[in-house]
Amino acid sequence: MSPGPRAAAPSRDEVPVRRADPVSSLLAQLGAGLVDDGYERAAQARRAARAGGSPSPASSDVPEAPPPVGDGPLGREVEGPEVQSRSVQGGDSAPGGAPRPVVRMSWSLGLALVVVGLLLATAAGEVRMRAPATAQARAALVAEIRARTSAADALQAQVSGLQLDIARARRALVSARSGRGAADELVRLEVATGAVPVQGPGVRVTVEDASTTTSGLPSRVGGDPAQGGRVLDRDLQMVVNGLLQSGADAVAVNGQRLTTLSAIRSAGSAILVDYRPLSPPYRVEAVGAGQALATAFVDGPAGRYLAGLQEGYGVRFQVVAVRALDLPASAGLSLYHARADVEGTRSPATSAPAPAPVPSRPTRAPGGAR
Amino acid sequence: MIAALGLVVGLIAGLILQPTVPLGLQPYLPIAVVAALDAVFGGLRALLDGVFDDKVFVVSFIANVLVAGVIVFLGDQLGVGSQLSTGVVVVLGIRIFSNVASIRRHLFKA
Repeated sequence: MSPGPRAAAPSRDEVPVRRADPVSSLLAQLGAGLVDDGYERAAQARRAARAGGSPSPASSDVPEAPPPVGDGPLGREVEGPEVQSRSVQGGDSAPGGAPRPVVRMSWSLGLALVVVGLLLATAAGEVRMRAPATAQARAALVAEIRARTSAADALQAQVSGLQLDIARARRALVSARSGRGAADELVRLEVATGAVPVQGPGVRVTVEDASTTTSGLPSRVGGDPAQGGRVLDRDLQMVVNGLLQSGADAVAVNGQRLTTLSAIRSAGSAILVDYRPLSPPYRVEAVGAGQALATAFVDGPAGRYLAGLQEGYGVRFQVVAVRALDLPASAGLSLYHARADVEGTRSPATSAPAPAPVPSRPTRAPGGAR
Repeated sequence: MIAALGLVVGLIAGLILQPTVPLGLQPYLPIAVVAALDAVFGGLRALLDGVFDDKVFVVSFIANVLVAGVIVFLGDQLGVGSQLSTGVVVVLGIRIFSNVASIRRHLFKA
């Protein structure tokens, strides 16, 4: 059967391609031949084989079949009606009235569909899992924030309670007659260690590099003349030690309170106090006996040392007795205390707790210097 | 029969095993799903047209998924990944729609 059913086929259930309207024709093209070409071709081949070489309409269509490569819209357009005609022909020309003569299935099909099912289930699971994941993360974060906040609150309450305890204990100590000496000792130690701010009369020693106009003086460091009259870390150490030796109660350098663990060092050309760099001029302030302290300092070894520096290298310094100095407390005074060793066998000597503000470590450990 | 069985087995296996997709392949999963759906509906239409062939189906399924993935990968490398994946989804969506329309005509004669 040649042209009869073929011509009738397109009008049966597929909108025929009309050239007039470009948009609708494009859509029709897209929709027309979308069964994979392979189905059509394989069906043709099988039909031809079944026909046993007899000139069947299917085999006669083979040359018309979709072009093997580069089947653009034109190729599809040709094929579109053909799909329909083929199905009609298959139904009509099937021997013995079998409705679907060229359908073939096998295990590979089942396998492919297993893969399809897996893909669908995986995608579904992925989508379902993603939304709860973000919600869970958020909930976990919120819960953690709440827990940490309440923990911080509890710790804050503990701090307040302990501070109250400390104040009460201190008051009890001061009021108790036997604790009189201990309270005095505490005040003395607090001043000496820089735990509390200190006000009072004192001495201000200002040390400065030699002015640049001063020339002809020998260099202190290396051979660089420009470095001639620089103030070095050991000069400040000398000044501080001299002040303490002369009876100062508390010392600060450029507003930085010195503690028993403070370090004055140099890094490059800068002088550091407790790892914080200073900028000249260097003001070493000491609370003490005012004028008497100043006199003692100038007459002491440190004063003589400074005078020698001034004479030899042009380092400038100035000692002034001040009526009222205001030294801050040390910024980062931390409390070291020993804890009883539970095993108690290795170090029985260090088992006594030391809650005093004085750190019991005499060495200037880099990490512990405060 | 085999096909329905395979689909059900695959769905159940996927739901039970909950396979996790590697992070690098996650952008390609939706595209692969759409391509697989296209292959499935194309096969269904061919079945109703009476021209179904399992080999063609398997090959077209694998090729569809691979080509869609490669196109999106290429787009990612070129910096137009989202646009290309949109294009792939549009094309495959049109195909799915027209195939479903054909199936509908076969089943309901309308």
